Order: sequence, then structure tokens, then C-alpha cells
Amino acid sequence: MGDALILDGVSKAFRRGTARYRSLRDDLIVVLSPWSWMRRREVFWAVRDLTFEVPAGGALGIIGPNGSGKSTVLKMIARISHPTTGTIRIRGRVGALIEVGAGVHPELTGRENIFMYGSLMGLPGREIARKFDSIVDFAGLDGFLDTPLKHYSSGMQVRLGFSVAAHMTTEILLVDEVLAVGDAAFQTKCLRRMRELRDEGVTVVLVSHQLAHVQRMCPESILLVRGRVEARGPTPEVISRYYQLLDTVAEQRPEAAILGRVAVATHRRDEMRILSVRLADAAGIERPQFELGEDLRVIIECEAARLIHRPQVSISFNSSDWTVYTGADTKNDGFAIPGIEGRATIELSVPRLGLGPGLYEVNVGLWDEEMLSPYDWRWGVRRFVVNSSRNLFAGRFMLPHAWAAKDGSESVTIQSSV
Amino acid sequence: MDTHVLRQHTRESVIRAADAPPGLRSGLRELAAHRELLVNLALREIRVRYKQSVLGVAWALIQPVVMMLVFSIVFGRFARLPSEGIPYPVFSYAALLPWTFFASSVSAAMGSVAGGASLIKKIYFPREVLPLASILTYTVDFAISAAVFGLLLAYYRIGLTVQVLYVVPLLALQVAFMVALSLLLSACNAYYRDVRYALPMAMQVWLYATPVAWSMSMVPERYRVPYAFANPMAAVIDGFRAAVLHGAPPDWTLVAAAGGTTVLTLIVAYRYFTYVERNFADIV
Repeated sequence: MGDALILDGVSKAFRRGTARYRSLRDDLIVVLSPWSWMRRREVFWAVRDLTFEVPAGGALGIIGPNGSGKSTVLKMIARISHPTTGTIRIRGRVGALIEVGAGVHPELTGRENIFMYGSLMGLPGREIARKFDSIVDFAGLDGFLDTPLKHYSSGMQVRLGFSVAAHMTTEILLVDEVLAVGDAAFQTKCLRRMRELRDEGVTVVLVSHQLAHVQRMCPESILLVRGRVEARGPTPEVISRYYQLLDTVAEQRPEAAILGRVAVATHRRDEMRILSVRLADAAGIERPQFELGEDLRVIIECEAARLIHRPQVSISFNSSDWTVYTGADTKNDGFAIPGIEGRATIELSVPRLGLGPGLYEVNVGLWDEEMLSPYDWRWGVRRFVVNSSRNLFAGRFMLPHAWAAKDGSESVTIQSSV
Repeated sequence: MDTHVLRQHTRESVIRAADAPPGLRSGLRELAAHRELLVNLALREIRVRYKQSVLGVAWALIQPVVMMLVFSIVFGRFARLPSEGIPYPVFSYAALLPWTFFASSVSAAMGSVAGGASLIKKIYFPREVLPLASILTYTVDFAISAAVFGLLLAYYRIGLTVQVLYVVPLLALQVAFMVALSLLLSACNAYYRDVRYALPMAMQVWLYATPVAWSMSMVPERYRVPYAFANPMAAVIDGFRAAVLHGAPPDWTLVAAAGGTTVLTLIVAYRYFTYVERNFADIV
């Protein structure tokens, strides 16, 4: 079948530091002074020497931190922006869902905007007319068609744009972060539609920060960092590489990684405070990365200025988007620490870590006996990465589990390795 | 939901960084493929204009009519400029009709690329569509004010002859010149916002440098051809008056001179536009 898309040595340079648009005066100055000729050549490479291909019918995810050049790549493929070097070969027509909302006009009605939007996307009017009901239905705009767009909610406006785009019939579909918009129900609808298109043989290139979406849509991904390919391969591996990279970034700023953010400002830190939080494996070796199913130990060192009776400790884990996944505290667990004076070490053991692959942060709190007010409570004191050689079928948690099957004569039980 | 049918034939396109901009033929093919967008953009402008303003369509007439009144009073009454034996209001309106079309569409087209930034950054289409849509928008205004001209002619009992058909090639020449200027100015304005400030003034000067308020007969014979070279609109407007008011063919030498300038401008403008348009998304 061959490749639908081939990028060969593609780079994109922007001029650094200059205003977005020049005035004639600026250019005259540039022409007239020798230094500015030098300055003018100072360029910023948004994308550098990018080479990859996407097989026809394939789905490729592009992930990476902000400013790594992901959107620029899509813009070059979509012919919005011209590459500075390299060659892009495209087999088939390209449709782009790059930030919906462009081209719609607030004074025009929903109906008029659907046609306007369609012609921007390159859909002929008769095709839109044919798909009109389906578009309206997808967007959930029935009854608002003859209302000017300015009276729509922002969610409705976005849905209108995406719904038209979702009805494009191109061989290649570029998707840039569109799923960040709309409510949860609409997002699900969009994901389903994208998957339908993919299953029908449309080649998809997806740029997203929603790594879970990338994982669900694209078997393969590339990780872009500062315009270069940092990793390429099966999506779970690339995502895990990305997490490691994020973790290195955190380690380069140790104060952020170790002290974390103070959750509640309290002067009671003078009475008792967290000195350090360490993450270690079963052998007691400190590590920033763990395998799914490995043992994890969280070791807290603290110091009390006076004798604190029956302090309580809380530990929780959240993902990088601040969703708290799980936590434990001494009060609910009925674990009583008689008292702390001076330095002390408190340890939480997590046998067979069930957190799915991803980047996590550890939050630690030191509390009074009733857990009403904290002495010291910090978010994101440590970060760690969970890798997995196996994929989770779904979700972000591995539950302890076992399978069983019966076929009449004999029963088979397979114990899960977790 | 509609089932998606993949097209069997797939077209391969190659984007090479170093390639020269595509030539005129493929440019026109792209444009033809996006004609619906062109029409829809123009329709959008027209709809929006008439939805937002109370007077709506009437605005298309007000500008040339007011100008005609001012000119008739200042130049016709006070200055008593010669008007080729035609009542001055008709004389000036005959010129204001093509001039207003020219000035307003070129002014609108000039800002179209910078104004279409949100589109340019998000969606691919041949960028020529933007200035062309501005021109298309103002053809509606032109048609409306032309209808008013018809009423004016009837009021002054000036009959049209079959010679009026000469306005067709004249208008074609004018539109070609407008396209050239629109491409050039809209691309320049994307880079240099100075254009936006300079153009209104330039248009004012240009109006008086064109036989709108006055007659071409005031230009000495031997200067007319170089004049038409320098200002194609002069030849267009003079021809327009000849065809409509005098039932005579335009001065073909002047039209040829204007045509020469137009073709030249068109070549330069199209080259420049295609050369810079691939950078529009990065700079606007």
C-alpha cells in the first residue's frame, strides 16, 4: 500500500526575537546597518531535520512538551506553512482539524456558517448539503440553525466547527489538540468519529497533550523535543520515554522536585516539618522509575522541634495533570505513631505497585492527631515514572486480579503476575 | 452518520522547501478548485455588511452619490470645470461609478491578507482568494450604484447606444488592474503595515490625478498616452465616458497603453504574491 506521508529532512526556521510584522522603517534600518544583517540571520529552528513516514491507513501520534514543534509539523503537512528545508510527500488529500473556530462569523447563522466552514475545508457545497443533517445532528445544534452564531455558547460554536470537519472525506487527517475542547460527551463523540475514520482507512496524524488519547488512537508515536525526534516507536514506549524526559527536567530543578509546593501555608511547620522524601525499591535503592507491579517504598524524614504526640501522616499520588489517583493515611489505617521528637523516619510500603504507566507526583502531609490541621503538607515533593512492558487493556490502574475459565471438563485458573 | 468512501485514485503532491512557487497554470487550477470558497467569502462579507448596518444595501449608493453631489457643487458650479457638454452630475457620476468600484475594492483587498490571519494560520487555501474575494464583494456595490446611474441617465434623458457595450472590455481591463494592485498591496501589507496608512492618502491623490472631476480633454493631446501608461484608470474612465455618455468607442491608443501597464503590473504582482504567500502564515 505504501506510505501516505513521507517527511524527509524537514526543518522550519523562524526569525528569533523580531516583531511579528515589520515596518518598512525596520527593514530600511536592517538594510542600512551591517550589524543587523548578522542579527537577521539569527534564527530559531522550530523543527529540525525531521524524517518520518506514515503508512497509508496508519495512525501516528506526535507528542512532546510545549514549543517542541508539533503544531509546526502539522502546519507544514497541511501546506499552511512552508518548510525551510526538506521535502514532504503526500499521497492523497489532506484534511486538517487544526484548532477549529477559524472562519466562522458571529453575525452569520449556524446554517450559513456550516456552509462557510465547509468551503474553507474544501468540501463542495453539494456535499455539505448532502451531509447537512448529519452535521447538525453530530453538533447537536438542531433548533439553533437560524440563530446567529454570536448567540451560541462557546461550546456550541466549537461543536459546529468540529462537526463540519468530522464530515470531511480526505485520505489524510491531521488532528491538533481539538479534543481539548467541548464537553466530555462531545469529546467522546469526536474520539469515536476519529476512530471510525481511522478504521475506514484514513491516515491519521494526531498531535495531543492528552497522552491517553494518543495511546488509544495511535499504535505508533514520535516524541518531539526542541524540534527533533527524541524517540519513535510503539506509543506506550514513546510515552514512557516522554515521562522519563519530564522527570529529568524535574531533576534539573531539584528544589522543585524535592520541596514541592506547600499545600496549605502554615506556621506550624516550625513545630514539625518534612526534611526529605525518598522513593526506593524493595532493596532500598532510591530510584525515579519503577516497573508496574514492583514494590515501592516511600521514605519520609521529618523533624519535630518539640515532642509531638500521635502525629498522623498522609501520602497520596497524583498524575501530572493533578488528578489524585490514590492515597493513604495513618489515621484511617489505624497506625499510631506514639510521638516524635527530633528526627524520625516514616515509611510507607506499596507492594506490587498498581499505578499504570505514567508520571506521578507524591504528596506528603504531616498532621495533628485528629488530622484537622497539617504541620507540613506538600504537593509534588517527588516525581516518579511507572513503566510497563505490558499494556494495560484500559485505564490507569492495575487491579490485583486472577482469571478463571471453565469448559465443562476441567477448570483452568491463571494467576495474574501482578 | 454518512459512510466514508475512500477515493481509489490518490494524488501525490510534493512540497519541496527549495522549489520555486508554482506557476500561473497550477495557480489558476488551485484557484478554480477553491472557487466556492471565493464566492462564500464574498457572500459572507456582503451578508455581514448588510446584517450589521441599518441602511444595508443603501450604503453602496451613498458614497458615489454624495461624491457626485459634492463634485457637482464644487467643480460643476463653483469651479465651472468643462464637462464635455454633459450635465455635470451625470459627467462626474459616470466616472465615480468605476472609480468607487476601483478605490473601495483595492482598499478592502489591501487589508485582506492581514485581516484573514486567523484563516491563513489554520487552513490551507490559495491565498489569492482573500484579495479576490474583496473585489468580488464590491462588484455587488458596483452593480447597485450602476442601477442608480441608469436612473440618473433617465432623469437627464440621456439615451444609451449600442456603443455602451464598450464598457465590457473597459471593465475587464479595470478588474485586471484591480487584481494586480490588490495582489501587490495585500502582500505588501502583510509584511509592512505602513501600507495600511499610506493607501487612503494615495487613493485621495489618485482620485484627483484621474479624470473623475475633470475631463480628459484638459490633458494636452501629446501627454495622453504617457499619462494612460502611468495611470490606467485614466484611460478606463475616459473610455467609460465615451462609451456611455457619447456613444463613442474609447480611445484605443490610451486603452492599449493602460493595458500594457496592467499586464506588467499583473505579472509583477502575481510573481511577488506567489513568492511571499507561503510565508503568510508565519508573519501575519
